[in-house]
Amino acid sequence: MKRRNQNIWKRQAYSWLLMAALGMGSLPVAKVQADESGDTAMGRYIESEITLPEEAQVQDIVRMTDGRLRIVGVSMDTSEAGSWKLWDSTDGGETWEEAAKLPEEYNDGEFFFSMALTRDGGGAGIRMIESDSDDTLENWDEELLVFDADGQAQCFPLEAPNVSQLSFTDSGALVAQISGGGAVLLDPESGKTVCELVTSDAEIVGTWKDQALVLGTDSLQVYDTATFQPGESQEVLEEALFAGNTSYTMTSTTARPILFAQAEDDRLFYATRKGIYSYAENGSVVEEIVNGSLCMLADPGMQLVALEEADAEFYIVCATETGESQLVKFSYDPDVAATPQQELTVYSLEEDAGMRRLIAQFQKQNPDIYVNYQIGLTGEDGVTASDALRMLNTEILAGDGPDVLMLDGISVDTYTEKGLLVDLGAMLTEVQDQDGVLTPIAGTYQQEDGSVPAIPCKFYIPAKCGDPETLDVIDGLASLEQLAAQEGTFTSEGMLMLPERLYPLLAGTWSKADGTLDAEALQEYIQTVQQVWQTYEANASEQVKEDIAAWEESEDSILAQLPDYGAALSGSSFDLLGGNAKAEIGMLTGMYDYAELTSVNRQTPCEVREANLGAEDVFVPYETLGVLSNAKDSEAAEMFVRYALSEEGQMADVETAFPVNETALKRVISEPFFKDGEFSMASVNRKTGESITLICYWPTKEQQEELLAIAGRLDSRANLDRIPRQTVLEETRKCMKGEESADEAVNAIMQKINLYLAE
Amino acid sequence: MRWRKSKRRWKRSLTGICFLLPGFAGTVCFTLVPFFRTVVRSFQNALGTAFVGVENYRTVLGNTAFRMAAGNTLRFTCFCIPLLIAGSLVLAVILQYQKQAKNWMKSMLLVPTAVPAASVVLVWKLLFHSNGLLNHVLLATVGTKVEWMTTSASFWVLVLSYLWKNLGYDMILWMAGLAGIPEEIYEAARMDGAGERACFFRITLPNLLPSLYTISVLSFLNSFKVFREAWLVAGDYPQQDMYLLQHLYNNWFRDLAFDKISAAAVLTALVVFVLILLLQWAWEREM
Amino acid sequence: MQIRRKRKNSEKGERYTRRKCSVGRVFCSMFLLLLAVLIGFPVWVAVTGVFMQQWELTEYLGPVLAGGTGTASWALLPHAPTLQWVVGLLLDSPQFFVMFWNSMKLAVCILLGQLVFGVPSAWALARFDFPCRKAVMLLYIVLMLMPFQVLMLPEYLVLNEWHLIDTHAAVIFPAIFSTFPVFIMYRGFRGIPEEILDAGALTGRVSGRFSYRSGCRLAWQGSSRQSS
Repeated sequence: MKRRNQNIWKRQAYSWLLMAALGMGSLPVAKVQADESGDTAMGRYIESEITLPEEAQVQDIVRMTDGRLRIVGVSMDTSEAGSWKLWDSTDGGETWEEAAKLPEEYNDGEFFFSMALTRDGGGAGIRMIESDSDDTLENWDEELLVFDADGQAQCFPLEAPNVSQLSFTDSGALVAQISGGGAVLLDPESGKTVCELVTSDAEIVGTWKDQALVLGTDSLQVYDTATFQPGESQEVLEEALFAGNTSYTMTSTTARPILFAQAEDDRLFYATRKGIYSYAENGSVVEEIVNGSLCMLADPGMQLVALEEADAEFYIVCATETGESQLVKFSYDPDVAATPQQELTVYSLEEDAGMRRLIAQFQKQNPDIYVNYQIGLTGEDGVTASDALRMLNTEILAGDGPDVLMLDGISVDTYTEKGLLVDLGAMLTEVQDQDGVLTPIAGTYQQEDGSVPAIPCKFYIPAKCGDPETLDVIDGLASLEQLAAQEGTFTSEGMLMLPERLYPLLAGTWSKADGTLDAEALQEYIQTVQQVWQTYEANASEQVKEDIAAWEESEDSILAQLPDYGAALSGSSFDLLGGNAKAEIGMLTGMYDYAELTSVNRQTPCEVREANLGAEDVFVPYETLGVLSNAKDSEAAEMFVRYALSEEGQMADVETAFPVNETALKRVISEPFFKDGEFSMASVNRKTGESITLICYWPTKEQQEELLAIAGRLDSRANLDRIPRQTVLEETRKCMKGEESADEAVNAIMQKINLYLAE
Repeated sequence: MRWRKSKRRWKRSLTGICFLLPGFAGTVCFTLVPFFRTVVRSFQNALGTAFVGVENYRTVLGNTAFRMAAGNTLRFTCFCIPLLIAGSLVLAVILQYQKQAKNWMKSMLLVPTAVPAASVVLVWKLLFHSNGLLNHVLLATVGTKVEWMTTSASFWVLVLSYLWKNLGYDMILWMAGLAGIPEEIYEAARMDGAGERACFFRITLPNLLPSLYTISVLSFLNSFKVFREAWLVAGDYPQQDMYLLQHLYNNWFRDLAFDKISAAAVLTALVVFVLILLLQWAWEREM
Repeated sequence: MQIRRKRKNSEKGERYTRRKCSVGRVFCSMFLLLLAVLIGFPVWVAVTGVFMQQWELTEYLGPVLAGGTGTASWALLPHAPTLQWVVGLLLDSPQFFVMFWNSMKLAVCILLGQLVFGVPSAWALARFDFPCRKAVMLLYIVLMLMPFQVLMLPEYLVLNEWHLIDTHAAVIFPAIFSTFPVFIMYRGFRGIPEEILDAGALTGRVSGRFSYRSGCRLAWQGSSRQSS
């Protein structure tokens, strides 16, 4: 009896103890606040922009022996456009005076690149001359242009092929890279090759003191330019340069991945996207002077051209993608915190260059906020989109989530339903009042209660282009079949990617209001696509059949890289120009697309119209931003979104997509990126073999108005939810290839999507 | 005397608790507390900011995807586990009397257990694709293809995968159980004139009941692991007959539906709890 | 005593071989062989695939992996064996070794941890009697059967609070305290007859050391089986 009571008592005691332990264990542990002691490190390099004289396009900058700064470039000023000049500055780059001019014969129509200056004010460059008068792209000759401090210049023919990346050492030796990955020493007085230092694997060539620096795929070699022998290997520098598997390759004649400069005390400076670093010869450490992620170095839209250092200030010449030059000066400001106090995390599922540019611009305007760009699918590990979203959700729930979410590729409804997105309605009204906004597009995510959880900052326009007569015939899916039967109406690429191109336009036709799918509409779509394809294939010429076979081989990789919106319309501009196709359906991804197509119109009739192939007035949202309600710094987050919607923010990246901000949209459409006829594109007509050139013009006023009108009409958002899209496209493609019938495809799709919706 | 005995028993209990405590503390930390939090979460909304009572349970029980997944999981479990247990028992008995083949057969059958799921998945894809090896064989022999991954035949993909992986494992456990039965009982029975079948059904099987309990529990555990192969082969949304509870959890996770996950988890835990109690009562009385 | 038992066994053995007719034996052997082939086939495919050249792999796997026509096939042995893949993996892929040694490190740490924490727990549950023992065992089993997704978020939150995220410890600790090895070893310990331990006590060996040695042996079997 006593023992039983004891047992009962013991049992109760133990159960209470267990409950207590569980209860205490379930309480969230109070986060220990990091002790924010008052002493934060101060002092950081802040960037500022310098206006260049005569809107010059600059190719090099040098600190001369007498302390002056000199730049070499071509003037773009209307009065003296095309003349190559040298400008000097004595006040640290604030003002520039013309110091010398290159001879008149080199103005207007001459193409120089890879200009390099010496410390005495002279320099050299590569001059391209058309050798023959036929229009092929291949036959250009190169000459070495050498000029002195007063602008006296001479040209020498070059023996070595494809010379680029000219660079002078302090003692006047000229180092360059040649095709095939070699590095050579050239004689600046004759253009002859003095010595071939490296025969292969020289990606980047630079100079430091009397040495040539040669960067290979993963190695650094140093050569003495006097003795032509390898110098002392600089291991610390090599390690720092290639840390994290970085590689350096030239992607164009002007844009460099890494820039070199030399201090007065012979220290080496180099600038990459990650920042500006300094290194002393045989030193033990490479020091970071400027953090790239806090300045324009991280902006992918700014190409690095040249670097120089003077008086502990750095000058970087960079070029925007439209060809304009900018001179950025980095000066040390001891009153600014070394690392910004406020941190903002922006998350996007896939890396987006447009977002990077926006971030770089935002940081320039707000140097006290550090923006951390987090990417879900880095591509390094085998993470799928679903996995990345699961990781994101875990972080959000744990309170470590991002502040701003770029919702492209992510379902907005999921986050809205859970109340995770802040209402941005007030911000939208503000932008509307200030600059005007395309409300049907920007307010597309407005909920029933009036709140706006997410705002697309930009959009794409689905369109069709081509011969006006053919365009008239295109009216609904069925008409495509008729046209596909006629050879030469569509390109093979266009037809091969037909499901992807049509998807944004037609996704709305089979989604019912309650979220389920309309099986009949879906069946119609799949059957029509199948018929169109089969008709096309049946009537295909030999050339097209070859194209199809080639495409099928690399189908998986092509489809994997295709963006959600399908394909850009301008991809077919040369086919339209050359008469290989009469019409195309696709997406206008920005003003470049539109300008290219309207330029085609000047040579061959090619109109651009809205593609009303199912649903009307469809647009594809891009850069949809939302602020998380449990953001650590919601003020900075909202500031970021506000900036993204402002005129300035929308103009940070004018080439991708169309801005939602009305003022910005009008500016983007009306302000040309390039001068009419300034540049042209050439290609070879696949059928006839002759080369075609397309001279690019900016759209005329009427064309601009037309585009604006189209944009104003759009009001129906294309539903590009990932899982329905993937499922439908996969099954459609199987049906196209004849692996299953349309019925089976529809069944499979309905099964999967119903499961997805039922969850 | 009695006092000394109970003191010794107390001391033994205390020693036992001391042995148990470190491991138990860790388990509480890393498994029990999370489970308790899940239970709490099943009564809250998705983000854990407000209490919603039994709303989540109602939603989950009425959710068609949950019903389908639970049905599939149940069907799979009820079909596969008895099949596996019986099959591995038969194998163990056969193998016990093979003198030469015993050791290398054991190793052979254990190989699938050691092969990681990710490595085998490629072979499964190869086997079960509509143009795969199985269809190659079927076309050559029977003349028709079977669409393994896109029709209800996908259920058999799961079954085959599960059996392949666990046959050897369970067989080893059975053999250990068989080896544990003392020879004397058989000798005594044979001396009394019992035949093979009587020996098997009256001696072997009853003595194997504790092993049966262990093997049932382990097979049940391994039946959850079949999700790994299913997911690697067929992705987030496989054919309907392959869609298990864990697919659902996985997808709910992506959609931030933590309230539903928690409610479904608690329901599953209840079912498992009842099942284990039943198993214990049936086969593990001495526990 | 022992000798007599041996003779009895051999007698029984002879009786068995006489009883089982040779047809039955052959049938069993064939069946086992077939089973071995079926079970080993996927592994064989994986192993032979390592030594096949690209063209051969494309020929066999094309219909499945690269959208070719026809059906996949496989040969028993590679037609033109090559070591290029093995060499490529072992000599040209440093990441492989990093991953391999990471896996090794994790597996060893987890195994050791389970021995340190799991063995005493299993021993205590099997051999000692204290209040709530059955409840604890039941709890362990139920926890063992919980699928990963269910506990994933709360576990993440716990690990996050302890600042263990993005470390090896985040994988090692939950695995060390997993209840699965305890369950397996419990079965093993349960099976040790009480008499052996009493005999050990009688011969004067300290209970702890004796249980340690025999326990370890059993634990090794149990945990090495389940750590695969």
